[in-house]
Amino acid sequence: MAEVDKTSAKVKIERVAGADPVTQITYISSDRPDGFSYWYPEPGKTAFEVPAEIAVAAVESGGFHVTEDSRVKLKGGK
Amino acid sequence: MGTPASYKWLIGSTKSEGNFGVAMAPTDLTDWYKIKEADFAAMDTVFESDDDEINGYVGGTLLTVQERKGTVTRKAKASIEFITWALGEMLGVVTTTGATPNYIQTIKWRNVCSVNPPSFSLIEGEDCTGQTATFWLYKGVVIQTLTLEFNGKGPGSLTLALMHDGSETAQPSVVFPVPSAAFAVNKLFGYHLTTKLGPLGTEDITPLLRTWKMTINNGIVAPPSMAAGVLVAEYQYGPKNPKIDVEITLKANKGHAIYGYYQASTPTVVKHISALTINTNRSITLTQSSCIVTATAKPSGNEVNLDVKVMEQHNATDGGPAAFVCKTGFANLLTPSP
Repeated sequence: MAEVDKTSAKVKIERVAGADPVTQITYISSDRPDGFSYWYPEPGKTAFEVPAEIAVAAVESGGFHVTEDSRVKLKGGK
Repeated sequence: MGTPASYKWLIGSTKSEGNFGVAMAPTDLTDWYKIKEADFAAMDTVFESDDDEINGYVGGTLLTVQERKGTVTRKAKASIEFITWALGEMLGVVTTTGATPNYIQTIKWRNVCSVNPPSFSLIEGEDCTGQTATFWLYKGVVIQTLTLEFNGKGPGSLTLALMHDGSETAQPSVVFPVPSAAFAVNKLFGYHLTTKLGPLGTEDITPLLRTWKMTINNGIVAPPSMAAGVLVAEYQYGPKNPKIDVEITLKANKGHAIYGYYQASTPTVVKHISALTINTNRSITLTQSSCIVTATAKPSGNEVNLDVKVMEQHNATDGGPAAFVCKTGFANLLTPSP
């Protein structure tokens, strides 16, 4: 898992072209550390600006990548 | 009057509680999955007695409600939709991909940092004229165990053991679906099951299957709590849970390769894949990329059977001891309600 820079406010991610469209991912939220949190990306949308904790899970799902200008916000991000 | 046959219950297939014990919106509880028995939700009350105090009488006389919790059982014929919903509620880690009407839920073991399983609410009642006083909402519901069994070609049997937070809330205005409006499901039969088990994961043993049983246990615990009120404040996964056990009975004897996997001085690590397939867009596939089996031979009528137990091994490929891929019509699962 990429190490998250929690100080970063938002990270820009995009859907990976050709990948199955992701409609739901599970992530660990700082608001709900003991349970599960979910992000439901809007099906028709391709670019998103999300908190770093969501971005990490989104990239790991294989359905998203971080846009170039946001890459520095994810330490060791993909 | 009400009858057991009039018993109905409602859940929200794609919804869950946003926070434990905060009831879901009744308008989100609309899906009636048919079940085999009228298993009414039960409430367990722990009473505190003063029988250990000298009170001038013989025996305890004062009983005070100390704690409440509850249980629910669901026995149903197995279906893609009911199983997928239950797996999502048990394991919590869901990735959904796809587009209307065909979606894929990849469901994996809980994250090591997650302590609390998802929770949901349900409504039950006797759907007869004048019986609205039997309509109750239960919240803080978690799934303790899931058991899925197939025996020959017949319908699969799904049994769920649930726990709720001990509250009961009247829902007299709820409207249950008419019989023809039960939630549409893809029922699973024994002939929908294919199983591969071996070092490569391609060794098809389907023609030999006699019975197949999977049990997933969350080992739910309710830690001691001093939160206000008498209801359960939190359910947690048990230590080292969830666990998965798969038991398979095969038409095979000690000469079969599977017995050899077990018999070897260093047991052979195998891969287990069992798929329940209705069609290309409606299926459930269980993958255990790394596991060990035990095998016991026994007579069964005129043939010899092997009772095979698949012992879980956590592995990086599955992100746990197993992973499920469910192809359904659900656009997502576990959306918080309200």
